[in-house]
Amino acid sequence: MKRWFLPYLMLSPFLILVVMFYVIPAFITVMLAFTDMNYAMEWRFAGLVNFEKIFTDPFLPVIVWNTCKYVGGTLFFNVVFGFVLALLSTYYIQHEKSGIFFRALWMLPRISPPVVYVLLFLWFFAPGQYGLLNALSAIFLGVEPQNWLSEYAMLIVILANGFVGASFGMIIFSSAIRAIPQDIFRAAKVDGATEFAITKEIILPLMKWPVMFVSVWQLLSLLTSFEYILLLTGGGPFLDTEVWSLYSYHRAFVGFEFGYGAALALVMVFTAFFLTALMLKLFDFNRMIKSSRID
Amino acid sequence: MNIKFNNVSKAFNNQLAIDSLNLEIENGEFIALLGPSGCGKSTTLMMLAGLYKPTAGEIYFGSVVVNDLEPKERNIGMVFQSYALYPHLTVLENIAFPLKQQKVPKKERLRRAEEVAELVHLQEFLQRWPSQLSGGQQQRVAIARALVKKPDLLLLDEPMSNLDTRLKNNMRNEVCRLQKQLKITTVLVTHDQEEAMIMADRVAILDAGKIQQFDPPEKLFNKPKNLFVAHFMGNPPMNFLEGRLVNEGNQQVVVADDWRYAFTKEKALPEKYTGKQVKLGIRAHQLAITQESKDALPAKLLALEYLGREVIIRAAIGKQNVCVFVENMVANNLPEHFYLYPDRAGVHVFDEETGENLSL
Ligand SMILES: Nc1ncnc2c1ncn2[C@@H]1O[C@H](COP(=O)(O)OP(=O)(O)O)[C@@H](O)[C@H]1O
Ligand SMILES: [Mg+2]
Repeated sequence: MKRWFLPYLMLSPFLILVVMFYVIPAFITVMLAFTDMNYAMEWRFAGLVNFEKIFTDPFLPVIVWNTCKYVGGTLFFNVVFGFVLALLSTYYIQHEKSGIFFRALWMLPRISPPVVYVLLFLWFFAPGQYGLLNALSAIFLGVEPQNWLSEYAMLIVILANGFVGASFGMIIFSSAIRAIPQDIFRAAKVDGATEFAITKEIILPLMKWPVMFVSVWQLLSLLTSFEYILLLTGGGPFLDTEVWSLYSYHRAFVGFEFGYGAALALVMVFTAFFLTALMLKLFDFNRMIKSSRID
Repeated sequence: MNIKFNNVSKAFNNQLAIDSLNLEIENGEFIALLGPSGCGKSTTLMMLAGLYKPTAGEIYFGSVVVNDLEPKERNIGMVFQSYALYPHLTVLENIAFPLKQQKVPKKERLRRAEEVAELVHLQEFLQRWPSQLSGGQQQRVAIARALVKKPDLLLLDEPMSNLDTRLKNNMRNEVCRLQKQLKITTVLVTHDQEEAMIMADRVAILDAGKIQQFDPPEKLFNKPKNLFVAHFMGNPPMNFLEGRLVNEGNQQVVVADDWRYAFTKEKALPEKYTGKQVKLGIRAHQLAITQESKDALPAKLLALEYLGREVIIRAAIGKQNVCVFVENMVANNLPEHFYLYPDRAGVHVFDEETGENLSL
């Protein structure tokens, strides 16, 4: 009796936290989605009204398209850029300390507070002659100042998120590349492979599992997080960078349509589930966990 | 293609791993680099492969200095101790990989890969992944991959050390057969003296970054140049007895507290060695048990080890322990004290200080 009791006792504070801050809110969100709660904060069940509203929402096509652009673009940037960084810092820079320094540099955006980081971005792309990019392009190219943030809003949002997110892929890919035994690279060189061939035919195929992991992980976090967009553009100009999660937030906490916001969030969660399952299928998850990858 | 090391040194962080190595390998020859772990065997092999650059000296392939050639410019095949198969490629793709790098058209490279696979009896496993193969099969894939591009030089880094004894014997024969059949110059690295002796035409014994002796196996065994080689070759190791070389009357003798050994006239060493501390080296099969004290060494029985047909006797001569091979029959009725009569042709005298064999 004592033997199983103690571990549970030790776990219980954590368990209580999980229940309080994850399980209960999730439950409430699901409930909310079926109410038409507004600023009056009344629980009034309304059946599927909110879901009907979603599919007739005139903003929906724009929001979905923005979400696709944002998630797809950032994911692509994260994975590709993260891989390039990992490759440079672990394989091509064999000197250990330089590699670590290089990687630490890319961790900076991740450890700096989002507000500070976004301020840097805002300053860099600021309109008028005092924005850094405008100042630089005036000096070197002699062109007029531009309002980058309104003209290239989505691109800047993707870049800002990408620079933060790339370090995640970089860390995962770095350790995966280091896990490849040195003898494999030596064998490839003896077998006549160029550095490019080693990258393409040895390293890249062995990154299938980490790429899947990073993609799924990032996909989920990109679908649900919006703090950088909120701070950078607030979803604007107009609805140019308004993605699904931000839209749900805006409807709930700015428009005080809590019921509708919750329904939007719920649909997003199921979309995330579906996309994750799709990706696992795409990457042939079952075969991967069965066969040993590197021995 | 013959290969020559000319005063080749290799240092890691200012620490010499190979110390001005000189070595010549004939075209088509099978040589072994033999030595204890950490003596620089792999380093030497990697320099041949072009994976390490020598710190000093030159390596010649034929008449060309290859120090600055990349591995892919050397046309070599190499088998690694870990096999280093590409885990994401099938057996056939693994074997065809070197040809793919040479841009051989797909059809032809698969045909050639299959041919080589047949040579090492892998034809049934072509579509498997490396992780689905046993150690012996993986090793054969590694060998096939090394052979497929018809290399001028084949490098084998402890290829047999992960196999069990039975498989090891099979693979040794296979590799020897392939090497003779294809007439490829081959360098085998191993710490297993038996393997080196069985497989190689000549064996280079490496210790502390230097070549101790480079000779055919039977010469290493019967004419070791120094203590290290004598000790390293043979199982059980050679017996050593410490004593002092002196002249008694007109006879040259090695004396110790409990025994003496007299040289015959024709076996006598040059005068200049008189007075030296020496070690007598005698192999276990070159000591015979006798009850007569004349010209023999007094011994006390310590233990018997039965090996089947033969028995190893452990005995003490003075303070030094020795091993002797005897037949089962003799071992069974052995008294506690007896004499050991050395076969005079098999007695070596080593300078205790320098380790040099004075009797060669
Ligand atoms: N890449 C390396 N960096 C530093 N030292 C090395 C490296 N490779 C080998 N050494 C050193 O060189 C010596 C010889 O190593 P190695 O050639 O691998 O020995 P062997 O193959 O005979 O066991 C060892 O002392 C080892 O520590
Ligand atoms: Mg080694």
